Amino acid sequence: MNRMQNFKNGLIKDNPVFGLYLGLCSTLAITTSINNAIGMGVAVIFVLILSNMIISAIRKLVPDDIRIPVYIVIIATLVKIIQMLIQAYAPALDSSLGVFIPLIVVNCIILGRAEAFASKNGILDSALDGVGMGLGYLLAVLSMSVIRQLLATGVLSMTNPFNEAQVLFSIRLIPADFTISMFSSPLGAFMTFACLAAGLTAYKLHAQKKEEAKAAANSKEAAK
Amino acid sequence: MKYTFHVSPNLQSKNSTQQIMRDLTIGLLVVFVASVIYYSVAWGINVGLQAVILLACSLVTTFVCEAIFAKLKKKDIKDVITHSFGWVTSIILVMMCPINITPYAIIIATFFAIAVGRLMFGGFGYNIFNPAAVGRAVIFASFSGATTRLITSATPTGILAGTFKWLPMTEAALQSYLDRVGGFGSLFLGTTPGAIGETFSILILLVGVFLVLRGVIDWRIPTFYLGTIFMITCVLAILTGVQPYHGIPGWIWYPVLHLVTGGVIFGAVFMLTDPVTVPTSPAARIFFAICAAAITVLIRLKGNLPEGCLYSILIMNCFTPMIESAFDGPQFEIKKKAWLMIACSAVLALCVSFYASSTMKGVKGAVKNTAQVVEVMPCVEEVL
Repeated sequence: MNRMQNFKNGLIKDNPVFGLYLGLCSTLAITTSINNAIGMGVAVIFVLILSNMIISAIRKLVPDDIRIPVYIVIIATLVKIIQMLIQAYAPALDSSLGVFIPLIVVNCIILGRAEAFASKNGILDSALDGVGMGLGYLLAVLSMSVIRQLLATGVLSMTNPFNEAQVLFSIRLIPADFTISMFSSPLGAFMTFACLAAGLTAYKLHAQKKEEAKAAANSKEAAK
Repeated sequence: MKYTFHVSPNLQSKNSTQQIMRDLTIGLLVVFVASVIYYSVAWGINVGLQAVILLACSLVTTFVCEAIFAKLKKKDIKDVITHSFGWVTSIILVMMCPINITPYAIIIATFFAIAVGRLMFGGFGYNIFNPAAVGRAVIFASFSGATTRLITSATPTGILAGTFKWLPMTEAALQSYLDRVGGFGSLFLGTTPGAIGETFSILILLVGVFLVLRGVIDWRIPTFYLGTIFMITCVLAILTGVQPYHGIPGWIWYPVLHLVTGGVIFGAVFMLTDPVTVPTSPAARIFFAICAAAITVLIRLKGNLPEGCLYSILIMNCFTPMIESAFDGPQFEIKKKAWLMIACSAVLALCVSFYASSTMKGVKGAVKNTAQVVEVMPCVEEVL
């Protein structure tokens, strides 16, 4: 039950992007298309799960003073692996994500989860946390990229990352005359991010109020 | 003897905000009506109608946005709409846009101007940036291709910036420019294409004088803004040796050309005087206006954009809180400091002309309009 709670927290309540404001740099930069978002999300999930598991496994061996360099070495190794894989099998994705794949090394989500969770919990818990947080990141970048791509180009489309010529789907929802190209620029990224983060905060406040009301009602009943 | 006690401020203006905004609206509408008449007469009644349609779209969007905001905040809708003066923003926004933009573009721009530029900050009086300028920047960033092609003619600003690089050096160059736009007369009267409200130099100045006399706008900002632009370009003309035109020395006609082309007069009278987004103390306002003028001329002469009025306003709006705190305190005690800062800004403005003169090469000969195909009035490049 507790494990499931950890997993679910990462998705919505403690969503790494909109709830904890971690890993914003890559989020703002790569959410211009759905392809980029899914590619980046999968890369982050891969690195996050493995780094969480490895760091959790060696947490008792690593002296406290040098833990950050050790974490960075582990994360950098994993990132290099995924970068080379992407370069080999999905070169188009590599060219569109560019420098943001190597920059996963310094992505706050991964180091943050290593510091805050993996270095204190067991391997299975850490792996689950990695899955939850990674899916939360994927959800965040995906929602942002859907909004931005739709408003900026009017088309929702996705191509097979391993074969650029194969278009999985491409739907035009907004006519070309009515697109707002501003949303493909950083300005649009910040606006989309702010609106979604505000939405999540509003939802969390709403849930908290509900819970408080429930707790108050419960305590009243108990007093009776 | 009886003493009465008032909560400060003790010096109260006779004008209420309602009155000020009513006068401003009248002033804006006068210019707008002039432009509708000009477009109807010169380009056909449907073009004049397009301006009215744009204004109607903008106003409706403004009121809908404010009504939704009032509903969400659980306030009285009529009260919010009458006290937030959104229509002033939408009239200014429409007048900053070229006639060629689509109604869809103006609706989206108005939405961003009102909802993002104003209501998100807390409504009238709390916004950091001039909301109309925010809306214009949205159009600039988003709707570069969306034009209706009602008017297919290059604007004076576009020609001066594109062909002449803002520096026609000789009589021949100036003459070929004036031949294309219809002479200084039409530049003054505003019978040239451009942003809907920006071209009517004389009319806007008259409205400005009227508004100053009514106490609606502060005379310092337009005076120092336009004056600084005049001084910078005057020094530039002397430094680069601009030749006389029909006996008028270069250091007179060149600054005048800068003032009557583009949107600086409109910006000076209607946008830089927005009481919300500019500093409050007189010295701070002078400082603000001088800096804005320096940025305008810098963008005009050295930037990629043809016209810099809009972005100078937005950039200086960022610095308003900083300027405000620098000029804070009893005005008599900080007099020396204020003078020093204004002098610094004036030196900065002079640096712009020295920099521009040392790096610019003017257009010496006459430039014929070689393009046989009529140019589409550029929607993007015309930033106020």
